[in-house]
Amino acid sequence: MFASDNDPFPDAHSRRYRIRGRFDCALFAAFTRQRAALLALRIVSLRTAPGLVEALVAGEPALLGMFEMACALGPGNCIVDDMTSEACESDRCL
Amino acid sequence: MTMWHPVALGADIPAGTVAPVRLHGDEVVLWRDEAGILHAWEDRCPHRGMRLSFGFVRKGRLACLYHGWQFDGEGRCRHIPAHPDLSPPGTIRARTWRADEAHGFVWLAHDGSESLPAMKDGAFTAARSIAIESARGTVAAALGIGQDPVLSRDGLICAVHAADGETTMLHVAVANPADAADAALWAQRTRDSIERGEAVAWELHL
Ligand code: FES
Repeated sequence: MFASDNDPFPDAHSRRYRIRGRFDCALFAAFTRQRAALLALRIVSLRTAPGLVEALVAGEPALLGMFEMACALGPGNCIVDDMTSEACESDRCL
Repeated sequence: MTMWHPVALGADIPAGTVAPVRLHGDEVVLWRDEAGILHAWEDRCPHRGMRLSFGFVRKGRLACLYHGWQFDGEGRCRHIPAHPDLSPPGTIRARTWRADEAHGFVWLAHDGSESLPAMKDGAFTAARSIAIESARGTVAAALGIGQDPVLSRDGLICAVHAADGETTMLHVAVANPADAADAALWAQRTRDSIERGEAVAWELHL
């Protein structure tokens, strides 16, 4: 869980998602940003490499679940082969 | 300048119902709540993109058919059945269009802040909306409507809008309610004439 004096999401949970597949990373990263904005989630970090998008996301658990489901499907023209999701309960996730 | 487009007959959207329309290729859902207030939104659920026009109206909200997310009159998501205790964030909302009604027609505007211009007084009765497989320019030229969205002639009021590049919707209303049935037939004849490239005959009563 992330918490600081000026954290706008003091009760937020956070999860790290690793998404592997056949896609344009920039397109997929843009999709994750849009989905996070729609669901009022905070993207703490977002990294891409060929065939990989890794996002650390904080927010309401139910909304994180929706985010995960959306990323498992991905946008059109993107094929997700594998996705992992792990809870991050401490600063070691940052 | 705000561009208002007539896209449907208000009578075709009774309270508690939902209808899809297309305007220049954009897909829009029209729905009217139980209190009679008309709403126009992008026809796409913010959740997974299902057409909201497949949804249904319940207690002042439009519910998506797919997973049942409910959106209030402002387009904001208020209920997610899979998470009944969750208060959905204000970021989850349908994209709204501006909608108004005049002369029996529903009018839409995508942007701009100007209200629908005042129109000549008069009560009109909806007669028929019909799709014509011709571009708007062809239909407008056949009707002599030009760039104006509506034409009033011989007790008929006709409105046209481009659903897309190849299909034009013609909406017909009448000043005299007794003429509504004949005007509906006139709309059919007019469609057939335009699609065959023939001149439009304005006689209402044959
Ligand atoms: S697509 Fe509309 S609620 Fe899921």
